Amino acid sequence: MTVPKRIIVLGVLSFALIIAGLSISRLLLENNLPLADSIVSNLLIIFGINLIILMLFGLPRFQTLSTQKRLAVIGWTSGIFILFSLAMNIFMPDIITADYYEMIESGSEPINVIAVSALVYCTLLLASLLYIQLYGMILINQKKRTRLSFWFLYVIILSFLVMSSITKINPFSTGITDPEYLFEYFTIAVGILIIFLMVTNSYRNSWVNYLNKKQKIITLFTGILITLFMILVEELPGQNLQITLLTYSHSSGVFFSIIRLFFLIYCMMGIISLVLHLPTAGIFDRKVRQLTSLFQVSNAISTSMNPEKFLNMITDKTLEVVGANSSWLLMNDPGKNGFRLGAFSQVPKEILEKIKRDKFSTINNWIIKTKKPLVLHQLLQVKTPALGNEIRLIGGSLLAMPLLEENNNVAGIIYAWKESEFGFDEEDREMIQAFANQTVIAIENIALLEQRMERQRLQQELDVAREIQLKLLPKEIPVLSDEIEVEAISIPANEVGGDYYDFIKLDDNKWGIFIADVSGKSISAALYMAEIKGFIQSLAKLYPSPRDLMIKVNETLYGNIDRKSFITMIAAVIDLKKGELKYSRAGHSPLGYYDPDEDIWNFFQPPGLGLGLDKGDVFNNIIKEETIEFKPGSVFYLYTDGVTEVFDINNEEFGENRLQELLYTCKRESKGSYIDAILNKIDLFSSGGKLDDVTMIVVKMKENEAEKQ
Amino acid sequence: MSGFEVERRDKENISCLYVKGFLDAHTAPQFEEAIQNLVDEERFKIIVNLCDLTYISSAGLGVFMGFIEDIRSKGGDLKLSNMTSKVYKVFDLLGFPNLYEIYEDENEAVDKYQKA
Repeated sequence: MTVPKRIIVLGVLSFALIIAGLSISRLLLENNLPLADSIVSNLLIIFGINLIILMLFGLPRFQTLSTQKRLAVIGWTSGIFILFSLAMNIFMPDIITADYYEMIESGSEPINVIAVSALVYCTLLLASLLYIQLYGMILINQKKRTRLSFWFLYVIILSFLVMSSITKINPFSTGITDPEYLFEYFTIAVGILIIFLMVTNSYRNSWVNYLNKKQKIITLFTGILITLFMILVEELPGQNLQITLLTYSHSSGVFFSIIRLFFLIYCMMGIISLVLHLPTAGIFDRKVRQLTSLFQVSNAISTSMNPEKFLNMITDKTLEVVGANSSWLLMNDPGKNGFRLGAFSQVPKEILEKIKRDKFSTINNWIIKTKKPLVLHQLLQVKTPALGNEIRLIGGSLLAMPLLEENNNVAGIIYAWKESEFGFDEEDREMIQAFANQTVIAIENIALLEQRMERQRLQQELDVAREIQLKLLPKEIPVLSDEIEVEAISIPANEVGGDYYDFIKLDDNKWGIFIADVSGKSISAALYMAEIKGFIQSLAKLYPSPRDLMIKVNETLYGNIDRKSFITMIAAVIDLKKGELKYSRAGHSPLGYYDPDEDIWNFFQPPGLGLGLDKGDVFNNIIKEETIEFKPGSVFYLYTDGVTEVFDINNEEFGENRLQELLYTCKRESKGSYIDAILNKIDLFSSGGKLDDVTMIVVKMKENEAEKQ
Repeated sequence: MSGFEVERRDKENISCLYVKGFLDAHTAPQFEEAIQNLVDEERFKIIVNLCDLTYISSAGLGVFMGFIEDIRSKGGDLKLSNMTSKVYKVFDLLGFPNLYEIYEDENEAVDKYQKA
């Protein structure tokens, strides 16, 4: 770790200030100018203390220490203080024999100014370190005013240092000498304020809560030892840090005394708090453990999607939190084989074999019936025959907790077993209950995810089906002849539909036009649509008469289609040479025909049964073939019922009448696409609601130019 | 969409189903179940009264087809009655009058069963 430059500068600067302060006071003393002793040198030293504190704040790690580390730093720092003080007492009992002033006069001063400065500097450094660590402890769980109150204390301490260096009053170590001036009274008052602020700041020791039982005990005993030694060491006869410091530099001594007192007060408050917390420490730890594991489990629900891993976590946590010897989890799948072992932790071989053998079926059945958890405190004494005799063999105590789904189904059972009897208390039961609840949520989550993935997969398959179906419809509309204009469209309601249309060139002069609608929706309709396309493609050229073709298609289809399904169709053949259109209708919506001579739209509905409804006995008798003259200006309109069975918000059907009116309008306006006009209209009619499969074919014969003129 | 209801009334060995509302792909299973129940009870003489039917789709028409063969082979029948002209148009378009006996009034259908 590289030390930031700023810190080195501050360190050197503060050390220089301390040396300067001490040198000045010595110089003054040597020159018999006692009055000036203090103020200048003390102010330099106070400034130095400030820089030390600033420097320590600059150390980045000091801001982020954990509570335990901070406690350790405090422990070590106070330990060094104690050793320091002891060392001084033992090895240098004569370091200060009398008044510093006299010492210098007699030339008996044992150490030079640099050594004194080093000693003072080290002490101040340690004291500042202690102070900052206390600040860190106090800031744990800080409130709005915590920081403010602490810094207020700091400012007051600094002011007191200044005042005290003038008055030489120091209630923190030498006690209160009789004050004479108002300023002296004031100094004492500030001293009392400091003590008051120390006490209030020392209330902030909520970190005690975050230690576990063991840490609490260790901290308590270390704290008591350190406190005792800190007090004792300074009360021993002979030399100690406080006296030494006070002798060399009044403000350093006072600063040290204040920090020491603050430390002692904080320690005692901490000790009291620890003592008060100790009896509940065990319960507190348990609650913390419970909360932590619940937190981990609920975290796992949102992250881990591996069901096996999750169930293993549940049994592991059951062991950890309720202190069971073994735990296992049975999953219930009533549709399949009933219970199966989902996860287990530390299950002894003989119990594991029993689980694998009969899965504790008597207890399982009992739980399925009652939907309640079961606690058996003494397995050796179980007398309820319904629970079976074999479980006695295990001994100890057993807890079985159902995983209850929302609909009250038992999705599984968590088992916990302890060697000792009466091993499970009410709290254990509640805890495992909580685990059970979490497990149910996790299971439901996993099921939902699987459902979603399944839906996604189906959607992808439907998309593929749609692509394929689009290829079954004509890619482009063929040009029948120069005189004929054709429009066609097919829009499925869902991804795939049951509508079909096609144009097939039968010979040089004949075109087959087909439109069909399979009953039902989606996949089944789409598959039959593909089937009917196959029939038409292969049979159309063999049976040039629409009626014959229909009869053949019906014959082929009947028996190859679900009894509930059928297909309606119009098959038409345009003979360009003869100028006529022959067609048959198998249960399909009527054929629209515009007769230019009469200026009228006809809807022809010749008899005919839907395809696939009948073997042929009825179908063949009924179906008719009609012929219409295909003259200039005439229009044919073929459609599926998706065009007319459109409903508006009042549930009123669009119907044939509206369609007919619309066709008149289209004809009158003559220009533009019929299909666009009709699609617009029905979309408007349904107010953008969902439409059925919609398919249309429009065949227009251009008007005779000569005739027009 | 308005709902769909089936009500059943038995008159001796004849059962009459009164269907009401929209019979489409969504409601067809309901109607199917009603007929299936009659078949399970071996009540094969069935009249379906359609006076309150407002709409029938191809899936609805399919329901009749699903049972007719079975019922007729057991000596029964599905006779339809009291269709509104709108519903009749749908049946007619598909050629159903050629496959089913359709009566203007339920009683005519009952008479027909009793005479046979």
